[in-house]
Amino acid sequence: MNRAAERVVAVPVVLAALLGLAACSVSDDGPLVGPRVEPGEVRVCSQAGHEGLKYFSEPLVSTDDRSVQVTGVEGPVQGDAVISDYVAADVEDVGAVPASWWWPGEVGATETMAVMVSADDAEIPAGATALLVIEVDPGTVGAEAELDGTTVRYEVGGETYVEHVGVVYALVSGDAC
Amino acid sequence: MRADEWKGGNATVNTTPPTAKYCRRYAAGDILVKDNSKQVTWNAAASFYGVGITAQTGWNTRGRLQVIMGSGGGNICGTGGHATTSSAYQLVVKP
Repeated sequence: MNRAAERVVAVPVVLAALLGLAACSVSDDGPLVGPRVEPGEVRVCSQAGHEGLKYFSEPLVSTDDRSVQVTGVEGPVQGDAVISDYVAADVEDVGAVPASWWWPGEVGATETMAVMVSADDAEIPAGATALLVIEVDPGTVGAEAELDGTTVRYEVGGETYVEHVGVVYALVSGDAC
Repeated sequence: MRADEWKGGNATVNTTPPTAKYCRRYAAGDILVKDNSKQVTWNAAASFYGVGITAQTGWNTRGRLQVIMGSGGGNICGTGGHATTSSAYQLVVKP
């Protein structure tokens, strides 16, 4: 292929790539606001060794006057734990819900657990404060696990956004967090 | 909590915990770590049960704050937002 022909091919390829990037780029500065910390800057660790399921919860504040449709949550997991994600869509008093709890075994989260729904299909009302709830099933009593940040994907008014929740949640033994 | 630099000198100061209304409860044995906090300057950053740990400058962007909850658990409260957020600013640990 001569140089002129190469240019003819290269220009559309570059344009297509740029257009593709533009189409795929998703804003991480949308109206659903989480902790907004750097990845790994904040870690919340709980003690492994309990029976049952471990829950971590993190507030997500909607700053939009339209409802927010959460479409999924994902994040890298270390260990054999099974992670499930939920959203409690409208929590009036976030301070009344523990930041972490074991189930069964601890009180204070019953109301949240009764209203939380799968994060794959949760609608957060306009201006509401929601809770992202991470369920950790360690599988084996005493097993350690770590969820190294999560990404919440959501839609508002036909636009897609992501909110990176940089907080690391972990089950540990001892005080090594 | 461990300092990364020693300024020298000795001083005793009386401090009053700041008003921190953004509280969340952590279980016994839970650990909260804020490390390399790029958006927080640790000036008089932490008070535990009303006792100021550091009321002087010296905590900086390399600071690492670790709170280990004792038996019974407790609340970690931020003055500007919940403890895990970038806007927490100052933290107060309460029973």
